[in-house]
Amino acid sequence: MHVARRETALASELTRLISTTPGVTRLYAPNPVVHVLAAAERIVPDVGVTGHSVPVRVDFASSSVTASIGVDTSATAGAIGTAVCTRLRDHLATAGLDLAVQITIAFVAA
Amino acid sequence: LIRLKAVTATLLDDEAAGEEPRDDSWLTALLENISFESRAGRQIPYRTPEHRTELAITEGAVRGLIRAAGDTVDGIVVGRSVLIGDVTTLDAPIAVDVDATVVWRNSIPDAADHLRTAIHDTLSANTDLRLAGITVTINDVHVTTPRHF
Repeated sequence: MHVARRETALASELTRLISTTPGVTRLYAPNPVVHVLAAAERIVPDVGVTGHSVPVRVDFASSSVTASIGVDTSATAGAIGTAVCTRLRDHLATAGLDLAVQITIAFVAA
Repeated sequence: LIRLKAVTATLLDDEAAGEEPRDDSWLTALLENISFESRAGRQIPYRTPEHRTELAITEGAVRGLIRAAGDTVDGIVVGRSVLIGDVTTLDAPIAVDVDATVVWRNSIPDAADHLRTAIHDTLSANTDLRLAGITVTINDVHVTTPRHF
């Protein structure tokens, strides 16, 4: 239970970190469905609704942190993704954790 | 009313029997494309210098970028797009095949060139794919009725 609590707490911190990274629109579930067809996805940022975000997944057993994100076009997708990775790495280093970081860009809001 | 209903039904049946069989292929193609495009597909990696860090973009997101690039070109509408090659390996040569429709009165070669350029620029900026070629196939011409004001 202690490990689960630590995972949840870290996931919450990392989720907040990613959500506040400039250019990130939201976090997605790691499912195989992409949201390209949903016109609503384009509307959501316009009306200022953030939608339902999925937390970052932290797994101490496999020493990994994974997240699927959506990005906008304020910078290139790669630049926004790299910024997310750097922020996570810095945070993990500060916490003294050496976990593998896997970030997937699941949607680009053009 | 009962007789009228019966006669009407018979007339409708006769009329339907005399018509050509309905072509539903466009609907099948549409549904297949929706199914295809709604899949995230393969993970396309970026170069990441940081230790134990993997950054990738889904194939579905890249298809969205291709469509968005098409939206910036006047007189052309992007349909299905396919990434050919091993997109999961950095520096592997990748070809992009795009089907598109041209709006009537636009030059097809010019529209295709502009679309190729837009797709190349978008993918070069947003992915680490090594583009070996972009093939644009114009498979339809959209005819619009000229407006008279």
